[in-house]
Amino acid sequence: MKRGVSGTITALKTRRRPLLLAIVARCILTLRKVAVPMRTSSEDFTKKNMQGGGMPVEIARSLWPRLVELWIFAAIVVFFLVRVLGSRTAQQLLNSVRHHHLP
Amino acid sequence: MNMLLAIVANIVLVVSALGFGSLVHRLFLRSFSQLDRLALTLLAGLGLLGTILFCVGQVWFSRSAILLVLLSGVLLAFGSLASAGQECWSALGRVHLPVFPAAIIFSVLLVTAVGGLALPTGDLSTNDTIAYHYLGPKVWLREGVIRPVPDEVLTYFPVVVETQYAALMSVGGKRAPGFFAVVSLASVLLIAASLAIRLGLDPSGAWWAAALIAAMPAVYRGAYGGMLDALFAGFVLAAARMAFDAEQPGHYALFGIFCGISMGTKYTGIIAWALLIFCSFLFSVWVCRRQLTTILKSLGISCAVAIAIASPFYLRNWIFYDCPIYPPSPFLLHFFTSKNMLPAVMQGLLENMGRSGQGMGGGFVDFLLLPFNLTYHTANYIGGAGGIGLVPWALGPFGLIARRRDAFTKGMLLFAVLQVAAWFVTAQVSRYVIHIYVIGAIFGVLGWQYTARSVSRNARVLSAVVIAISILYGMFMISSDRVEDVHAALSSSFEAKRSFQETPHLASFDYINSEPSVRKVLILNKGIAAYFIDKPYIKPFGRWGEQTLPGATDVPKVMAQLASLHVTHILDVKSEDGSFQLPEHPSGLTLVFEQGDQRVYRVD
Repeated sequence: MKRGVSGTITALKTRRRPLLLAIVARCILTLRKVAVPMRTSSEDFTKKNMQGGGMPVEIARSLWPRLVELWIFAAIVVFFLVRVLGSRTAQQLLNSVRHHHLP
Repeated sequence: MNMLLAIVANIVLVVSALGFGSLVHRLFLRSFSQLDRLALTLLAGLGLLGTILFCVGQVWFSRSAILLVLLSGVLLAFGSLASAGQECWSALGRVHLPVFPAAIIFSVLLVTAVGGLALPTGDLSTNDTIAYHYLGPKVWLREGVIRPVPDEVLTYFPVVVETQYAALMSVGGKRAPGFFAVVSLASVLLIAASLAIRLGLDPSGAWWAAALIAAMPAVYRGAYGGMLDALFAGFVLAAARMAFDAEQPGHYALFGIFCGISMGTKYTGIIAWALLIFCSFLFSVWVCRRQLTTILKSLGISCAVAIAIASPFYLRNWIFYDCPIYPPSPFLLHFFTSKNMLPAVMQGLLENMGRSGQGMGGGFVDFLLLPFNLTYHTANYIGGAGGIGLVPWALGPFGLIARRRDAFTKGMLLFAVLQVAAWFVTAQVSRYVIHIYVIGAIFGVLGWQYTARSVSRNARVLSAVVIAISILYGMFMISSDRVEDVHAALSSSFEAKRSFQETPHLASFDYINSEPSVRKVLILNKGIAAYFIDKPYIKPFGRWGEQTLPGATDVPKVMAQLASLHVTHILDVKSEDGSFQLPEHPSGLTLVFEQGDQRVYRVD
């Protein structure tokens, strides 16, 4: 029988589960700096640290806040789409509006 | 008067728990704050009190026995907390109360307290509490001994919390276990605040974390109406708090105590225990760089203590029913037999577990989508209606980034990931991971502080919007969920009307409970909630297919044994197919009560 993607994953899990688990655990416990030099606290954002930074630091300084804002904004928008507009009450309301405007 | 008694019973129970909790004071870390000490004392006390009540109840479970245990705890509390009390009050005097989070916590606790005083309603299909959390305690008190109820297989579960429900019912009446929700929720909030400060939040942040947790409908659902999942989460969080801070053998013993209490509360505590031991081992090896022999010795202490604390519940099942975990999983049947367990019951339980625990799928992609689904579609996981708010998803990642170099954070993160993975492959029921929601909320507040201090003004505003949405939406869901309970507690006429509407066959229960000639009842239908009957009863068929009378596989065979059952009355109601179990005018029986689909016969 042809084995699909999920079958491959399952087979991998059963054979290598302890190894994968150990790798995941090791990764979490040895968390180091993330690729972009993100700030850990307000102290990291002092001008002293930013001065003399090269191009990657400049990009990070301008890009990281925008990424954070985008992430939080997207979370709020999805909340309104899924939990508010997607709710049964909102759906009923939208349906009634649609029927009202149809000829 | 009934309500006052329920409140007094809860106060006595909490004081008693604090007394038993004081027994573990010597095992605390020196660095613990007053908050840490209070949270861990209360949780340890509740766990130990439940375990002691269970052990005593194996031979004697009358009101006197319960009062004796409770008063022992109260004496311990007066003895040991008298000196600590003064210190505590002076510390409380210095506490600065942030207005908003304190108001949110106070409102949720107030709603919980008032709503908790309403009488329980419902039936077997919609309410687990009626089906077994309250049924077991009620039957134990009547029988004077703690034994599982044969017609409800789920009463074989570990019962650290249910024994306390029994104590509350005995001292404070039917309303008292409902009011226990305040204790349950307060315990979780205390340990959450303690954990929040340990993870790097300031006291104001800890208040906000507690407020967000109090306003999470998915957490709240596990705290009221007889549910014990929130308290279970508290025990697991206390164990996790100790797991990554323990240094001395005494600290590891306390870690073991909380693991044992978790295992004595729910079977899922076994998974949490195994994961915490595993995480503590890896943490000690890779982060603390301790010697292997020292680690193994310390964890050996934890394991031994955990097994000792949980053993009464598992040994009882092993001795009486041949299997420590009862009802047993198919895997365990390779090693143990199981007394009185019909294959049909096993099948029914497995099917139900598969059905209720499937969540939104069990594939690899579903696992990756879990944070998103738990945030936006929590209602698709049983017990998660209302969700967990936006904070863990929107702000939690930044909290992780902010605290990525902290060793304790790494330990908690490892435990959270493995716990979610274990939950994902076993049973995806929202209530089972309340402790992960709590951790998520704390990281969310850490992320909020990070964005507020370090990112940009826009991010600060957006974060505040996320917090506001989470709290407002959560409060709306919680209040709409509890409005009827609050109304019932405040209006006796509404309470009576609601009981009549929501509790099937209430008229028959009222007749049986009020009629002095009824001494023992035979319940013929498996769908009847025996919790509402105050008299001794026999129920030959349980809702999972349990059969409690030897050889009686159907109603005619039960009726053939009628003389030996010594029942005075028989309750018969219409089944789903619209027919009664007994024929019209059965011989030897007199119809003494009939209303709609309910009949009560007197045995002549």
